[in-house]
Amino acid sequence: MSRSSAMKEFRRDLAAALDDGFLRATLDAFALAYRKNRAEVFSRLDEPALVAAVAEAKDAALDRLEDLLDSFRAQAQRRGVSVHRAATASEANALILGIAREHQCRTVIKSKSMTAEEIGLSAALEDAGLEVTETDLGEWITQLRHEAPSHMVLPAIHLSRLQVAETFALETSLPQRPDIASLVRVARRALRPRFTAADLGITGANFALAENAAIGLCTNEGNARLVTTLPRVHVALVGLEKLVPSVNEALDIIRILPRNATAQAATSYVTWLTGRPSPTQERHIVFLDNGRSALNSDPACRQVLRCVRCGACANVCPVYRLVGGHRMGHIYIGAIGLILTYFYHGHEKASHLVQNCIGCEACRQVCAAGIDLPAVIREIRARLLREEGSPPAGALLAAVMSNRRLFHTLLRFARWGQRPLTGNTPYIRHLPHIFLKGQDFRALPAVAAVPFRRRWPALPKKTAGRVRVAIFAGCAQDFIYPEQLEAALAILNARDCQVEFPPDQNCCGLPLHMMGERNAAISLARDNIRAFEDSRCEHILTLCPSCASHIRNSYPLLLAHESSSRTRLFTSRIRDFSSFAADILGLASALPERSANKVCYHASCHLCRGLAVTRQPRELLSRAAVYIPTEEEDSCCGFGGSYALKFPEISRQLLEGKLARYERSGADTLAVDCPGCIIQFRGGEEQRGNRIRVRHIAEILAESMGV
Amino acid sequence: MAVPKVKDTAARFIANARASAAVVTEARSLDEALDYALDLCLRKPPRENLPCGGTSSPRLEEEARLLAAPGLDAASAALLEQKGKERGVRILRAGLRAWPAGIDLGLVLAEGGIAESATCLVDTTDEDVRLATMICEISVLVLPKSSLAETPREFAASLTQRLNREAACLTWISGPSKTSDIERVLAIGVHGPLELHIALVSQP
Repeated sequence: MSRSSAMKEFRRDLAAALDDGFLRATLDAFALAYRKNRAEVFSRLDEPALVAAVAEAKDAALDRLEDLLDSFRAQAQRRGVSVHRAATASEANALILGIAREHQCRTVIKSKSMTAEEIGLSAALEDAGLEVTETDLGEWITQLRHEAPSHMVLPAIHLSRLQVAETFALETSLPQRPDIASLVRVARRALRPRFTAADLGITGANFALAENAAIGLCTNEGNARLVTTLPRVHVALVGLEKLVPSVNEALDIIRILPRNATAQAATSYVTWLTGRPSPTQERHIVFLDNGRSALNSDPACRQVLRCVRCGACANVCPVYRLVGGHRMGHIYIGAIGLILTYFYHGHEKASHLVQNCIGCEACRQVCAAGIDLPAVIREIRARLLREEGSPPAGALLAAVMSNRRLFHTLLRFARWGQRPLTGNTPYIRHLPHIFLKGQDFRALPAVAAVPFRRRWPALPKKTAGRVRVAIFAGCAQDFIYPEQLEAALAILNARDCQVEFPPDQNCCGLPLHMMGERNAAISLARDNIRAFEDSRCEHILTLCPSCASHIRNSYPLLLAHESSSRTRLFTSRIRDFSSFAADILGLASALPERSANKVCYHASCHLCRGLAVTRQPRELLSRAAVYIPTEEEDSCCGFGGSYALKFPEISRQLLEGKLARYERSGADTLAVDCPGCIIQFRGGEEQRGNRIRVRHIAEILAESMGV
Repeated sequence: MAVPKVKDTAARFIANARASAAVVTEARSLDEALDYALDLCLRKPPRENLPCGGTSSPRLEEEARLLAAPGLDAASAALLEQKGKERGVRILRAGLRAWPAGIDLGLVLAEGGIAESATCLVDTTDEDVRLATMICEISVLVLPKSSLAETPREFAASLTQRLNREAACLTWISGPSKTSDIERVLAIGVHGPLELHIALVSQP
C-alpha cells in the first residue's frame, strides 16, 4: 500500500475511534483516575530515585546480556530446566510447538504475555492443531471475540460489560447478565476445567535472574500461578531484555511496575520460580531475540530495552485517551508501542503509527525506566525518512528553513500574499477549502505586518544594566506575535536589564526535528549557536518553551559529535520566560497590587515537562491577578506543530476539551507560556466566539506592571 | 527520639492491607488463628463446586466443610485436626490436587510481611501450600508480627538464599485474586481466593 493511502486508511480508523462514545468515556475516566491514584501511590516513595535505579540496573544488564544468558543457562541446566534461544518469532513458535509435541501436549493454557502476543504464539499453536485458552480475563474475552488486546495491562478496556455479557452468553450457551461481578464468576467457572485439563502451561516473565535461573511473574488474577502449577509442562517465553543479574534489580522492578501500571502498591501476586515445578513436571525457558540483540547494539535506541511493560506511556498519552490502543500500536501499545512496532514488526507497519505522537512528553515524564520515548520516536521518524525519502512538503520546508535569509524573506512576502485572505483581521479567513480540510475548528493566525526583528532597531532598550540578556525570538513570536516579545522587553527594561537581539538567529529547528528532518535540524542548531557565540549575555531568553526545551534537551543530542563546550555555552544560557521572570528578575515580589482579573492557566507541554518549570508561572499569576486553578492544566492543547496539520481530528478534540474546561472555570483570561499553544487556543476561541481571552504570560505581567 | 518501629510498621501493614481488600485480624497465638480460620470456614456459604472436567472426584459432593492446612508442623496440625473434628470441619493436609472443584478455606503460614505494600511472603515450593493459596475460596495467611519489615529490600538476602536452592516457588501475596479487566471495575476472585484474611500473630 502506498504511503499516502496507508495514512488515509489510518485516519479513517482514527475517526471511527473518535466516534466510539463508550471508548471515549472509559478512557477519559481511566486517565483521570490513573493520574490521581498514581500520585497517591508514589507519594511516599522517592520516584526519581527509583526510576534512576531501574534505568541504571537495566542499562548495566544490557551491557552484558550474553554473559547473563550464559549464567542463567548454566544455573537452569543444573536444576533440570531446559533453556532455549530463539532468534526470530517463527523460530520461537516452532520451538514451543516442538516442546508441545515432544511431550504429547494437546491442550494449552496461557497467562498474559506481551511477548507471546509479539510472536503470534497462540495462532501458531492453534494452526498446528493445539487447543489454546487464554486465562487472563481480559485476554480470554478478546480471544473469544477474535480481537487484539487494546492495552498492555488492561487488554479489554475497549469493551463494555454488555459486550462481555454477549460474548460469554455465546461461549457458555447460557444467558448472562451484564453485571461485572457475575461475569467474573462466569470466567472462574468456565476456566477452572481448562486449567485442570491442560497439558501445557505458557507464561511470560517480568524478569529473569541470571544468578539462580529464577523467573518472576507479577499478576493480579492469580492465573499465572495455576498455569505454572497444574499442567505437566511449563514453558516461559521471555524477552532477552528481561535478564537481570540478581534479586536486587528485580526488587526495584516489582516496586515500580504495579505502581506505574495500575497505581497499585503491589500486584496481588509476585511469583518467584526456579528449578522444575516437581520431579514429574517439566519446565522450559525460551529466550526470544527477535531484533533485541540488534536493538541493543543501536546506541540511539537501545534505551527502549529498559521497558518493564507497565503500559504507563499509554495511560498518560492524550492521543491514546482519544482513540484507544488499536490505533496507538500494533501489538505493543502506547509510545513504547509506536517504537517497538518499528523494531519488532517492520517498518511498513510503523510508518504511519509513528506519526501519531503529538510530542507532549507526558510518556517521558512517567516512564518507569526513564526512557526518553519522544526522542526515540523522533529518531525513528528520521530513519523512516531516510528509508522512504522525505515527502515533498517536508523536503521543501527543510530546504527553505535551513536558509535563514530565504526563510525570512518568504515569511515577509507572506504578509503581502495573505492580504486577500485575512480581511484585515489577525486571522486567515478566506483560505481555499482545499488548504483547510479538517482545520476549520480553529482560525489560523495571520503573519504580523512587521516582524519583531524589523521592529527591534526602533524599540527602547538599555545598553547597560544589572542583568545581560539576549533574546531568542523563535519564529512564532518573531513573525506572528511580535507584541509578546515587546511586552517582555518592556519588563526587562523596567527591571534594569541590558538586552540585545543577535540578528542571525533562525528557527530553533524543532518543527523539522519532529518531522524527522534531522540534517536540517542539525544545520539550524549550528546556525543558532553561531549567532549567539559573540554575545556576552548571561541569559538567552525565549518566550517559547518549545524552542527552549528543544535547545536545552535536543541540541546536545543532535550535536553529539561536535564541540560540547560550544553547544553548552549556548544551551546552558537558555531560559524560558516564567522561570527567568520569577527566579532571575524576582518579579513576583515586584508586582504592584493584584488586579481583579480572573486568570486560568495552561501549562505548556514543553514548559512543564520539557523544562520541568511548574511553580513559577502560577506564582507570578497569583501575584498579578486572581488565579483560578483548573483540572488537567498540564494536558496537551493538541497543537504539536505539524501534528495538528496531519491529524486535525485529534487536535480538535484535545483543544475543545481544554477550552470547555477553561470556559467553565469562570476566568476571563487564559494565560499561556507558549506561542504554539496560543495559536491553537486563540484560533479555537475565535471560532467559539471568544468567550475567554488568550494571552502570553508576559503580556499579562507587563500590563500588571503598567509598562 | 526512639521510634517504636515494630508498632508503626504493623500499623502501616494493617492500613495498607485493608486498602488492598484484605481482611486483617490480630491473634495472640497460632492457636487463636486456627480458631479464627475454623470460624470463618463454618460461617461462609457452602463452597461452589466448580466444573473441572474429567478430574472431579465423588468426594467433592460431600457436605462437610473442607479446610486445607498444609505446611503446619506436626503439633499444630494435630491440634487443628482435633479442633476440626470437634467442629465438623474436614482438614486436608496434603493431596490438594485432587480437589480442583473447590475447597472452602486454605490456611498457610507466611514467613514475612512488607508494610509498604501489605505483602505476605509465603514459601510455596510445596505444591500443596501453593494450591492452598490458589484454589481455596478463602485464603488465610498466618503472619508473625515479628517478621514485618518496611520494604522488600529487607528480604533480599533471604529471598536469594531460597532461590539458590535446586527448586523453589516463592509467592508474595498482596490481596485477594482480583481483576479490573471489565470496564476497570475492581472485581475480586477471578481465579484464586475470593477473600484474603491475614492473621497477624504476636507470639512467634
